[in-house]
Amino acid sequence: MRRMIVLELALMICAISAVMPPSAIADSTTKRCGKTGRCYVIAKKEPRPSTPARRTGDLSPGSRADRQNAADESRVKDANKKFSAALAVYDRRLASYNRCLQTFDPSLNKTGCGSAPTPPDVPRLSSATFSGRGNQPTPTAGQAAAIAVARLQLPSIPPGIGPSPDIAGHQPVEHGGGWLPTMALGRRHYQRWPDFRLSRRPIRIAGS
Amino acid sequence: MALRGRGFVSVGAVVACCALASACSLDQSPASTPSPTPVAITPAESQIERQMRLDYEAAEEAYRANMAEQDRQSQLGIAVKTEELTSSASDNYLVFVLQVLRDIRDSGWRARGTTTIRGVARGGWKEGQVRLSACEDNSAVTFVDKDGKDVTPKNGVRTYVQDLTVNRVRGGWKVSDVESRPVKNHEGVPCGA
Repeated sequence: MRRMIVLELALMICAISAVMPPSAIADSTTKRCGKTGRCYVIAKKEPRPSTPARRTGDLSPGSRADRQNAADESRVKDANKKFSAALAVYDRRLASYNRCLQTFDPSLNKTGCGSAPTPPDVPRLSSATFSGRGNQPTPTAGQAAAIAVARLQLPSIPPGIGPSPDIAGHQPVEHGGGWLPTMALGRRHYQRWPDFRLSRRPIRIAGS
Repeated sequence: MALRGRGFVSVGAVVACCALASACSLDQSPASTPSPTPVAITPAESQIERQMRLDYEAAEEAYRANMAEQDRQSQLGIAVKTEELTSSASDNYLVFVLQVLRDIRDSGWRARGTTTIRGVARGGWKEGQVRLSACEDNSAVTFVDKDGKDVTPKNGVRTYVQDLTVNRVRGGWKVSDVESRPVKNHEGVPCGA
């Protein structure tokens, strides 16, 4: 009895599907026949993607340049991060060293303040590795100032009284590559020398 | 044995039901009359029913206008993308129609007679799109060459059920695609009158 019901249901489904009109959805192999009796297969038009280069990964020169620019920017960002971290460490050491110099008392501390901390290396990203215009890493004014402070050559001589014997007349010294951008902006940096006098002296680029 | 006999009766009943169901399908509805005749809005007709009716009528009108233009151009032996064609057809259907007309023109033929539309059935509706099933009979259409010689293709079927997709484009309706089913005759198909 149950088998008969199943058979009836199956037959009913078959019959209904047989009398249903076929779908009019046409695909690329749809046959279209005209009044001459000839039939045609016309390729279905597909809408063009709005941005084919980006979606299909087309290696057009423009997209390649974009990717290169993005890679360059990423490298600059990474270098800036590393340099900022190293500079922060150097700043802390320098502050500690300066404090030591200010509070130095030879009668209490005969060992001195040790040598000045070494400034971190400025990241050097060769312009040859950067493609596209304007992608070369250019330090901001703040970064340039930080670099200048970092490259400041502090005298390793122990503090004493009176002007430093190494510094003759507090004359500005041009050295190799010239003045830092902060000088171009007309700003002056004040520097505390080990003799505790505030000296108004331009900053020079060390080793450049 | 008795059980088996009862089974056959049941199967027979199912087949009869299906036959009845097919007889009561869309092609028998008064709305599938060959020509779009305005029907007065009855209180029972809902807003959506009214919209569907108007859309079907407009879509069928576009199809019939396109067929009339095809007949005209094939009789003249020309294939021109006229306003009549482009206002009633688009996409694949327009490409197809122009290809048919070009073939007639390039062969140097001219048609005599017109395609008979046996009926148009409604195949489906959604907002902005209508499906129609049209029974086309080209058996009365003959072709002559430049010398007036009858060159009508003798082999092959020229009676079709055309499953049409009609889209609303900027307020108007255009046949956008077709799938042809060659048939010997239109008996038993929804669009057959």
